[in-house]
Amino acid sequence: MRILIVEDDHKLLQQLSDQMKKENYTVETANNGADGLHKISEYSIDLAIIDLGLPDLSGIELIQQARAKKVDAAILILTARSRWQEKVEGLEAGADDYVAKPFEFEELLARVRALLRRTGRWTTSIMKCGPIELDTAQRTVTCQQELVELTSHEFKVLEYLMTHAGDVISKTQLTEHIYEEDSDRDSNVIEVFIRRLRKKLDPHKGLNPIETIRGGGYRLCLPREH
Amino acid sequence: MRSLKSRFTRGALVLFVVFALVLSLLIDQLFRKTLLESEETHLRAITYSVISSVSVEDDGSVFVNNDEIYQAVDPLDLNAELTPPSSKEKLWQAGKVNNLRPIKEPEVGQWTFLEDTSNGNGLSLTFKFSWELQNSSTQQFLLRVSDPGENYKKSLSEFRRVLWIWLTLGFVTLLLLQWLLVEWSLTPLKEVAEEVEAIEKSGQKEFRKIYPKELMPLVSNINSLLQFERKQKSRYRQTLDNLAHALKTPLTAIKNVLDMKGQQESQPQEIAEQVKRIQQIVDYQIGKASVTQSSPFIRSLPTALLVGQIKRSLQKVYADKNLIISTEVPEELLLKMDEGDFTEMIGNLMENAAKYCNSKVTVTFRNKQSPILIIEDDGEGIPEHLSLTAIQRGVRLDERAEGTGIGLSVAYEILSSCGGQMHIGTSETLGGTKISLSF
Repeated sequence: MRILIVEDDHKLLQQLSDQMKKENYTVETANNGADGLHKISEYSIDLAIIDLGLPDLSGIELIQQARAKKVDAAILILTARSRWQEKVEGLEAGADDYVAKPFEFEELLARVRALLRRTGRWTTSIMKCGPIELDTAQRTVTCQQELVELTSHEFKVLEYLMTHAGDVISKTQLTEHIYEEDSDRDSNVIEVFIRRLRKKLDPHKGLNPIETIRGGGYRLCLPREH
Repeated sequence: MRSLKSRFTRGALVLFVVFALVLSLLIDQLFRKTLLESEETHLRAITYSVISSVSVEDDGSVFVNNDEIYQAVDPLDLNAELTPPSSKEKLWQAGKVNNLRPIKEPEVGQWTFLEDTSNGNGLSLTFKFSWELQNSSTQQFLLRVSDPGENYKKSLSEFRRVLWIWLTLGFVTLLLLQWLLVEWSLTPLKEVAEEVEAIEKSGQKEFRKIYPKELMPLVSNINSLLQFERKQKSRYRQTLDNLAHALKTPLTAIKNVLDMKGQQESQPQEIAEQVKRIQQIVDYQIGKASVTQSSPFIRSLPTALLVGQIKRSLQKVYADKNLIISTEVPEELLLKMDEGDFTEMIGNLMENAAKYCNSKVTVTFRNKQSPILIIEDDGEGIPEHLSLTAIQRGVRLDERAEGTGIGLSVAYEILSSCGGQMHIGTSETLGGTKISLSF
C-alpha cells in the first residue's frame, strides 16, 4: 500500500515516514501543498495523510483540488485545530477521516489501516479470503490456521491483492503500490513475488489462490469471508 | 463631499433657491391676476356709468349725457367709445381710446377684457349691449372702455420689488436657521466622536451620555460590543492564567520523574500519562476560551444544514460502524448562536453518540416553550446518578472508545454561556443516552 504524507514540519514528516515504512507501507512525502497535489494526482496513492496547516496551498485547498481531479485515494487529515468546524470543513472538502494533533502514532496507524481496509470494503482489521487470513494490525498471514512467513514485499503484494480481492490487478498497479516512486522498479520481480506467494500459501497446489489473467494481471480468486 | 454639515447646507441652499423661485412666480401670478380683476372691475364701473347715460331715439340717433358720466367717473379716467357692431363708426367718444380691440366681438351682454401693457397698449374692456326702441325694435351697440395701464404697471412693479426684498430676507434667514439647525442636530454626533476618543485614549469603558433616540440603538450596540470584547479579553486572560497554572502540575510531575533515579523502567509510562493530562488541560481550556459569549452581532444559523454536515462527517469517520444517523431538524429552524460554537457543541455530542451507540443515532427538534434539540443513541446510556459527573472535565465514563473526556463538558460550557440548558437522560425510544439541549 502506498501512502503519501504531506506535512510541512520536517521532523514530524520524517518521523511519520519512518514509522510508516516500519509498518511496511510504501511511503511518498511532500513538505508543501503544491508538491503534495502533484504527487497525489500523478502517483498511484492509496492513502494520503495531509496536514491542514500547510504554508502555500492549504490542506483544504489541496484536498478540494485533488478531488476535483477525480483522485479517489483515501484522505486522512491532520489538524492542530481540533474544533469541529475545522474537522467538518476538511471532511466536507473530501477527506475521509481526521486525527487531531497531538496524536499517538498507534492511533494514526489504526485510522490509516481502517481507511485502507475501507478502500477494499473490508470492515475489520482481519481480511479473510477462503482459508487465508491477513491481519493488517498484527501484520501476520495464516493459511488454514497455520502461520505463513512472508517477506515484507510478499506481504505487501498479498495485502494489496486481498484488499481488492476479486478485482483484476495489473502488474503495473502492483508495482506502483509497492515501490516508492524513485526506486528501481522491475515488473518481473512481481512475477517472482507471485510465484513465491503461491508456493507459500498453496504448497500442495490444491487451493490456487492467485489466478493469472492473461494480458490483465492477477486476481485473488478465493471468496471473501467478511 | 465628506462633511455632513456641507451636505446639509448645500442641500438646503438648492432647496431654498428652487422654493423661492417657485414661490415668487406663484405669488407674482396671483397678484397680477388680482390686479387685473381689480382693473376690470374699475372699467366695468365706467362702462355701467356710460350706459346709464346713453339714450337712443326712435330714429336711431344716440345721445350720451357726458355731465352725468362725470358725476360718477373722473374725466381723466374716461377713455371710451360707442360704435355700432362690426363698425368703426364712432357714435360717441370720450378721452383717448387705445387700439386694443377684441379679434372677435363679444355676444350681446358679454364682456371682453384685454391686457397688453408690455407693448404699451394698456387695458381695454369691450361690452356689447342691445337697446330696445319705442317701436319694440332693438339696436345693438359696442362700448369699449380703455385704460393706459400705467397704474397697473406701477402697482405690479412695486409689488415685485417688495416681494423680492422679502424673499431675499426670508432666504437668508432660512439659510441661517438651517445652519443653526444642522449645528444643533450634529451636536450628538460630535459628542459620540468625543466619547469614542475618550474610550480610545483615556480608558473610558463605554458611552455614558444619553443620545437622541435615533442614535441610541447604535450607541447601545457599540456599548454591547465593547462589553463583549472586554469579557472576551478577560476570559482569554483568565484562560491563559488557568492554562499556565494547570500545566505547572504535570510539568512538575514530569520533572520529578526525570529527576528520580533508579526508576528508569516506569519513566516513559509516567511521562506519557502526564503528557496526556497536559493534552486534556490544553484541549479543555482552549475549548472553553473559544466559546463565543452571547453577542448582539451573532446571526441566526441554519441549524439543519450544520447538523447535516456533522452527520455526513460522522458517517465518514465511523464508516466501519455502519451508523444509521437520522435527523429531523426543520430546514427553517434558525438558532441565534455562533456558528463555530454550535458546530463544536453539536459535533461533540453527536460524535459521543456515534462512538457509544450500537448503530443508531437520532437528532430531533421539538419546539415547546423554547427550542429543544435532542440527541439520542442506542448504546448503553449514562446511569442517572453519573449524569452530573459526565459533564466534568476529563471524566470518561467509558474507556472503550478514544477521546479525552472533554467533549461533553465543552458542549455544556458552550450551551451554558448562551443561556441554554442541558439535560442528560435515557432515551425512551432507543434505550441509550438522551441529551436534550434547550436554547
